[in-house]
Amino acid sequence: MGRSDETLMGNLRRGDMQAFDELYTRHRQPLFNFILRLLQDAALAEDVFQETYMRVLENADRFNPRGKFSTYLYTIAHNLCMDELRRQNTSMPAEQMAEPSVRDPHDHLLKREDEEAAHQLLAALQPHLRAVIVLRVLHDYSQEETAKIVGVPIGTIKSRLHHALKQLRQMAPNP
Amino acid sequence: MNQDRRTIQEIQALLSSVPEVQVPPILDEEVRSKAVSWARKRRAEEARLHIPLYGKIALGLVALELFALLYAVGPRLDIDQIIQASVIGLVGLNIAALLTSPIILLHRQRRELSHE
Repeated sequence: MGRSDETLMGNLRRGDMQAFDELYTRHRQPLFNFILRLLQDAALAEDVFQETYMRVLENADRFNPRGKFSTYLYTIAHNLCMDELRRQNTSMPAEQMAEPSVRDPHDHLLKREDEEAAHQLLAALQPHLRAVIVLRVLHDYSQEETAKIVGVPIGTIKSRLHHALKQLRQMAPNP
Repeated sequence: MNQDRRTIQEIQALLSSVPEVQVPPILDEEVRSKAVSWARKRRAEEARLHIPLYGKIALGLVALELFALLYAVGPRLDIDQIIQASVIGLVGLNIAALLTSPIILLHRQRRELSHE
């Protein structure tokens, strides 16, 4: 059986490059997609991805081995993404979000099998709601883990998820 | 709640068919090269003699004992006083070792645990 992420992190602290390679290989792909889904911009995602790993290395001593490495990694990435979005101010204004196409709420939603449409829906969500959808729905993180990554109580995650889903339903393109 | 669950399933179904975006190889190279230079620096730091805080305290106590011994001996080269000061010094060193070794051991164990 392979070494756990947390053991690898312990080895990484001592400058073990093999440990870094193993950790990097395990998480690079999902992490990159997480960042890309949050930022919706490939060039920015590359910068943030790189910066995330640099922070992991620079703060290797601060990592609590009792905690989960993936939560630690995604917390860093999430915070960097939010900082970047704040800087770029790319989020859609709230007024725009409040004007979804009017639909029958009982309609079966998101029937259109168009990936592009799904991505556009994600992009239209406010960043704090998008983060919850991406973590909970697409990366399958538990409510507790999502709360830790985002840095808010579980109750806030529940309500954000509910709001995000409500908005997605309202914004979904008419079939 | 049911509506939420249904929307979640639909989003999952919709995006699961989308292939994940691959990390560009050049990005992999950049991250790895930065990691290599970090690791090199880190190993150099690790290789330097590292004396933990309690070790420094122990060394300080030893130095103090030696100083006391020298002070006691001083210019008077009286054999009785030299023996007396040596005994006091040795007892002092033992007390210092007794006091500091459990703390050093505890500190080391904690460090090892945190590395596991």
